[in-house]
Amino acid sequence: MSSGLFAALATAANSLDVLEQAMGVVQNNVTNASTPGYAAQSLNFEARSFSPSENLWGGVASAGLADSRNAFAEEAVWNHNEQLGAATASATNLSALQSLFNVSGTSGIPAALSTLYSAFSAWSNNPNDGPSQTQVLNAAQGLAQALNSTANNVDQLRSQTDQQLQSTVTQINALATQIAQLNNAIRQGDRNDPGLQAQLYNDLEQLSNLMSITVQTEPDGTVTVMIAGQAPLVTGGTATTLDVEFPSDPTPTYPAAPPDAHIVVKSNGQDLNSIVSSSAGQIAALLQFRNVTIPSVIGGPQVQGSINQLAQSIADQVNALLTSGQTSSGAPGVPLFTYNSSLPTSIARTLALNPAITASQLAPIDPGPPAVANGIADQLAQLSSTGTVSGTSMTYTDFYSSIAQSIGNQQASASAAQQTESQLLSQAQNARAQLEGVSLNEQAAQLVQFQQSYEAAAQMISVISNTTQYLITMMQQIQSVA
Amino acid sequence: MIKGIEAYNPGFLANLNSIENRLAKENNEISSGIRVQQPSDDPGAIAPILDTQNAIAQVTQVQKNLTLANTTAQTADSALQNASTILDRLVSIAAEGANSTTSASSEQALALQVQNLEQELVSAANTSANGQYVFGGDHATIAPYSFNWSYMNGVATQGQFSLSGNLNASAGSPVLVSVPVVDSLGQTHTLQVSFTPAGANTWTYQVTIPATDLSLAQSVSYTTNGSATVTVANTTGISVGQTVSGSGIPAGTTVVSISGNTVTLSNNATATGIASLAFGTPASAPVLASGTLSFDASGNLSTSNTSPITIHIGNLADGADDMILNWNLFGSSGNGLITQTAAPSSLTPLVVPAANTAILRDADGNPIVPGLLASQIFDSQSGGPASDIFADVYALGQLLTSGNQEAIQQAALNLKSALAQLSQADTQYGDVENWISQANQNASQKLTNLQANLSALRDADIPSIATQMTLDETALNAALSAHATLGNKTLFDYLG
Repeated sequence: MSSGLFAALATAANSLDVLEQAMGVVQNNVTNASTPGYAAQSLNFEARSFSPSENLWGGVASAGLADSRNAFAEEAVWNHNEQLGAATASATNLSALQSLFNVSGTSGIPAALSTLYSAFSAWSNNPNDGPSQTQVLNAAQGLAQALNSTANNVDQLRSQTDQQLQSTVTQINALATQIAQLNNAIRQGDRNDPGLQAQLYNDLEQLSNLMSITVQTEPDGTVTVMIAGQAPLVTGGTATTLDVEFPSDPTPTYPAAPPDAHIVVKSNGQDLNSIVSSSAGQIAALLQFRNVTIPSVIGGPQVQGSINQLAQSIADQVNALLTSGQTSSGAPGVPLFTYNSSLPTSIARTLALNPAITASQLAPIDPGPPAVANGIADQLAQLSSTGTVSGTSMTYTDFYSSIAQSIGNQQASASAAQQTESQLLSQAQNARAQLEGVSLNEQAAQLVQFQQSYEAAAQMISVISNTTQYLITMMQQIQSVA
Repeated sequence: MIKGIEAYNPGFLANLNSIENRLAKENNEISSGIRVQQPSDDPGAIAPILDTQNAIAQVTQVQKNLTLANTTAQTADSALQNASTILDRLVSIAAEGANSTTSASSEQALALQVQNLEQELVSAANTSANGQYVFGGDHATIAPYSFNWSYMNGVATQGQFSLSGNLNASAGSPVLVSVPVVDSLGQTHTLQVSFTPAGANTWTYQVTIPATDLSLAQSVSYTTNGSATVTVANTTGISVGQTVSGSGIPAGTTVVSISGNTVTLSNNATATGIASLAFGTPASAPVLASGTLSFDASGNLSTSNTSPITIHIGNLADGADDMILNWNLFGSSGNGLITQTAAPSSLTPLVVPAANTAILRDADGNPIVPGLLASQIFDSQSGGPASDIFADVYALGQLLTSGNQEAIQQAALNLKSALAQLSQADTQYGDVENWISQANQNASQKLTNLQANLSALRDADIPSIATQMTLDETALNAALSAHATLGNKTLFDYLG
């Protein structure tokens, strides 16, 4: 009988330990409720065997911490975060790029083109008029400057994107190193340590915004991070250091153009461009912008760049017309524009008003036959509808519009994707919070529940203690009578 | 992570952000009035917007062109009316001259009036607008005529030539170029231009006329009756010993000396006023113009004489056809007329006859040739009208002192048909003015349409944006209010 009482006392006392642990878990949950990466924990209770006849007095035992982390929810967040990272980087950079392309026709290249056409028209109406000739030269210079300025600004964006790429790679390297260090800590400590796990998953979420990652949890609790599932970034305690390099294109069509940016493994130079650029994340969008979008405008190793095509076509056609003409003194016409023809990807930047031309050298006469005194000037004035960009059937203005339209479409898509992914990410984060988040109400209720259990168990101890005391007193009386 | 509808809820923030972005864009559109400010605002509208802007700029320029052309046409119209008035006066003079009672001295006075009126007629034909001769055609900076009663029909006509080709510095001998030029009677003369090496990258050039095709005639002013000195415009082609002939100059007169533009003759002149002197054939071809050409390292040309040179040409073989042609030898610096080095040492002359080919376009690109060339109105050069007005006037001037009344009457009739000719030209200018007026109206209408199109494409629809903005503001306020009413307390607030 007495052994039962003592066993019950021990059982009740043990339950206080377990309930203390449970309240500790609640405390940890509540204090980490806002900690990034933290997943709510709960203590598993386990009923002990109860069979008084076999002297098994039951009670409760701790069966360890249960982690609410949900791999699918985490992956969903990473996926949307990758897409958001890509869309945000694209939207931001394309926004900067599109701001260089005036679409109201009041400034920049379109206005300069309009001014040149008007100058040609005014000149054709008065071919020997000095001010009209000077107006043509000024308008040509204005167009050259507009093209120079746009090309230079786009080129500046290329440099800024290089810096962004370098900065993003630095962030990726820092996060990869932290994850590797956390892997080491997890190996050395408790694999279920919610603090380490919170840090780890917070790092992974940040990383997912920068690049596409695939994460595999190993049996020892560490994570292996792959770049887009294809190249290792973090394996155990080892992080791969990435770098940005600009190797020359092996078979460039335009050797003088700035080479593409490449993401490489710093230690062995392995080129990761094909993996990175076909995935998502900020770095993929930056690579796309740096190696595809910008070269499509101002040229790269494999493309001449639309703005260079435009500049070359205008210069060539205007020059061809003028040099086929004659001045009023019978002299052959001289070119209006010059550019560095040995640098096809720098034509827009090197386009200039022919420094040797003077107003009187503008050749308005089409020698024919039949000769037309303002024939060349008239044809130049008609270039707005007849001049087409080489290899296309588009007028200069339409070609410019197509460049702006392409950038505008990309920017609009990126902005829409940014908004959509922002919503989807928040939904994924909500879904994850529902599974892993700390509900303060739930924790408070649990706290009350554990408190009550604790008080009950404590009361049990008190009752058993009284009973045991009574028993001891009774035993003492029996012994004194005996 | 906190579970539940807490303030940090990323979905709520994303939605809030989305509404705020919309509001910012709407605010921007309303304040600027422009819907498409950057490519992404409406990529599909960019091409139509820029094309429309371009079209607006072009139509605006066409309007300016039409205004200028209209000024020229109106000026031409006035000039022709002025010319008609002059012809009317000449017809009156002819009628007076045909009167048998007119005295010889009156005939002389009438003849002088005819000379003056022909000069006025030349001025009318040389009318300019905006610095361009309205009947100058393609060479609108060169006066169509110059007046000189001493020459056939009393006028000289315009023209120009230039040379192109290569000069070979190693050739060592002059390069000769013959330039055929045609006068207003369709007779051909030959200018000879020679280039002689004169050191590294330098040549001298001379323009001459073969002596057999030459007499020099100049209008000179007799300041004093009985003086042996006359002042000439220039002494090119005049040499000591040459014979001199002309009204008021005794037969057998020769040139004694030349000092500046003053020529001393062997006999005193016997008249006062403006008259013509013809200088006899010189022993050698006179140099009408000369200078040096030099080239820089790039082969660009510079020349010592960049002004047009007026060369006077006559025809000894037909003494009655003496005339002046104003030929402009162009050779301005750096115009690439003549290149320096490559063989062969030959230059090709380009003689540009007076022509009128410049076209004017309306806003739809339809062209017209708005002007008429002076020779299409006044003289009988190729392509000109049947009646040579200057010839008619000149004939009247000559006939008035002849006493041939029948011939004077015929001259009056010729002048009447010349008047009809002017009237026809005037009608053509009237048509041009009508065309310009119509083109202007069309351009204005087109401009209005284009501006309306541009507005529809580019401008913000303020009422609908304002409505949308109100909706978004309401949505924003509702979202914030709804969020504010959410409980921000948890069960913990009620514990203990």
